[in-house]
Amino acid sequence: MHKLNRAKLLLGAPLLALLLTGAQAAQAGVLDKVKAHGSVRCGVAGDKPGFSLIDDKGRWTGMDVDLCRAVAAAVLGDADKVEYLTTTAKNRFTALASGEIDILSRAASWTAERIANLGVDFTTVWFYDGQGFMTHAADGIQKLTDLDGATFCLSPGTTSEQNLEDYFGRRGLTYKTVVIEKSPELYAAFQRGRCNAISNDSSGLAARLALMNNPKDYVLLPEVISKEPLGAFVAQGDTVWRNIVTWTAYALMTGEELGVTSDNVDELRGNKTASTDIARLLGTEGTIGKSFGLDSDWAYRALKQVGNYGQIYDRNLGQQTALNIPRGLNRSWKDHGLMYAPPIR
Amino acid sequence: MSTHRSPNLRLSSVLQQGLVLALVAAVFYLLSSNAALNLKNLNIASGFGFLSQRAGYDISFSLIDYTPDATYARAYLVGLLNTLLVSVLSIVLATLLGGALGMARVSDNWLIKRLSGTCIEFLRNVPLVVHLVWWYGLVLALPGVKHSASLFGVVFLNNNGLNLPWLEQGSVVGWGLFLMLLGTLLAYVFCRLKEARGPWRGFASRRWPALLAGAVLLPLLVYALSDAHVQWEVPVQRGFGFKGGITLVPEMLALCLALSFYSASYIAEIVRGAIESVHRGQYEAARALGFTSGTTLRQLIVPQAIYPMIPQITNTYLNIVKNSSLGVVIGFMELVSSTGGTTLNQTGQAIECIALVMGTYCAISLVISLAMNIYNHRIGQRGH
Repeated sequence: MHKLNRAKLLLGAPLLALLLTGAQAAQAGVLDKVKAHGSVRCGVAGDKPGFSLIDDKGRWTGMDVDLCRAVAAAVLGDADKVEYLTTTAKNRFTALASGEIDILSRAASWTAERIANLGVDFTTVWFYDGQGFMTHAADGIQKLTDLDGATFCLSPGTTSEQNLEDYFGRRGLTYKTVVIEKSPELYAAFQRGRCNAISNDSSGLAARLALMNNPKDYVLLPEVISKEPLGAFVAQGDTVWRNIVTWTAYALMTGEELGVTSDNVDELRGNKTASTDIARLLGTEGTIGKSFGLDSDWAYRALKQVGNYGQIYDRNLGQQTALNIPRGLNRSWKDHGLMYAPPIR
Repeated sequence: MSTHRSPNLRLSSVLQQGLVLALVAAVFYLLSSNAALNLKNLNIASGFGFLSQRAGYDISFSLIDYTPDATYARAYLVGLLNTLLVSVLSIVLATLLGGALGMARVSDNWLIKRLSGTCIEFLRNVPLVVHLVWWYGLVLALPGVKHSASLFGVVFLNNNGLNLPWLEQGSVVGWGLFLMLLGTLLAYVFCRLKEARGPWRGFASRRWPALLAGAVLLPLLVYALSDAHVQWEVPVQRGFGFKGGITLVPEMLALCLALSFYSASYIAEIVRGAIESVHRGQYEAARALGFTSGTTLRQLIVPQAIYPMIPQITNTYLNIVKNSSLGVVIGFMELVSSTGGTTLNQTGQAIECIALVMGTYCAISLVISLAMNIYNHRIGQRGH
């Protein structure tokens, strides 16, 4: 059973928590809280196709969602024991730092400023992205500098406003912005010609383009003006929990690297001749899971119930999906990508 | 209430009030110090130091000079001015429109009465956000930049905004407004002095022609005497948009229209209620004296109806100011989108930004309340 929890976090709740909670109580371990609570509270965007969205059967799907599911499988033994809370660009970090959610899996970029100022820690990169641009095909724009003097549609709170200023302002180009918080309204304003271009993470643009009624009317520009390493954040100060989330992600990447899929994981675990790397990953050798505060089957359950990184990517963004986003930088390092998990040993 | 109370009673009352005040202050102190401690424990940066940092984001509509190189404090000021501008425009438009609709509603003409009634019911029963999205959709449905509708080749309307001619020297506008204000003030003082000397002439003495003359003449006089040379700048289509002049962005137009029409329906009902609250006998007396219905309304009914209107109209004005924060839905950079939105997101200092926004709205509302209370007090002294 999928737990359909569409709770919406408002900014007030985390702020109230900061005002009212006793200062000492904040230090209880997240792992113990999750076990006591019986579910992982996962902060997602909720409106981003391929990353977090409720599908037509009422199930949560997407890359961000699957990471939370894998953590739930590793920690609680059941990938469905996730409580999803939609967060906005405004309240996401406050909600995490104040303990309203256990994981922020919301395609948020890893930046020094966030780590330094917001009381949150990054786990590991789950998706390499960059800021791209979409324009109207009728305008015949070939490259970014053709957009001198243009109006851009942007969503707030992302790093895109600053990136745009860094790129255009520094080159002495002029531009105007229209900043709209909700994605549907933002894309509607762009499609109706309020803006000459819309700028967002490339994956998000590609996903939206694939879902538009008239994709031929719009063009994605080749330029990418920023590095956006997206991934899950956890609250600062809980190394145990941070390790669990980080290494669950690594286990899924390692699974792809070693050819362990949700289909063959049982077979490989029973196979005594499988490589020692696989045996360590699946917990038949060594005690890594226990050292993390879990049991030895943690990675096995995550791989069995959610699949390895490649399977997750294909299911949410791959060629069979409407989005069809090329893997690019997100290929395994063995295929000349950047997905490189440290060894599990 | 008697002012000759025993000193003991007064002392105990002061003590009680002091105690309550101290309690409230203690709760506030406890909450804020607890929050500060929590923030420190969670390693979240706090304080208002970020306001002097470079904002690094663009604001598409600004009354003052603003570039992304300006500080967060300046971005806050831009947001505040945008909020005030939209509020003032909407308040003026809503009052005119609401007054007209309300008068039409109590008209003797069956058609006008029903028409305005239908209008009011329609406007009033649709949520404000729907008004906003509807108007924004309508504005965006205007032709694109290349097919702008033009008026005499100087005013252009398209889905990127309304382009109007504007003074080439932007700073002159501020001086002009200042001189207009000064002129009005001087004219007011002049009127008061004159009235104090001359014979009492009842309520009929009209100050507004003098005030208007002061507001117009002083800037003109200063302009004629100075060697300033002010030129109009006409917008010209270039590249993706218009260069020169001033552009009222569609977000602002939609927000003003939505706020005005929505609030006008409330003002209309307030006007109707106030007019209907005037006793029936007053109409009959006026008719018996041979007043026309227009004169009755102007000279008799409206002056009596204004008094009960003020508190409710004040509420509506306050709502307009606060509802202007819905600009965030369609991306108008007012206070909530700038300081409560992008600044908050970029700095992550949620408590400080939200406190700043809340404090500002509170201050604006209190100022409006104060002004309306003063007006109310004066009207109360005059007639009743």
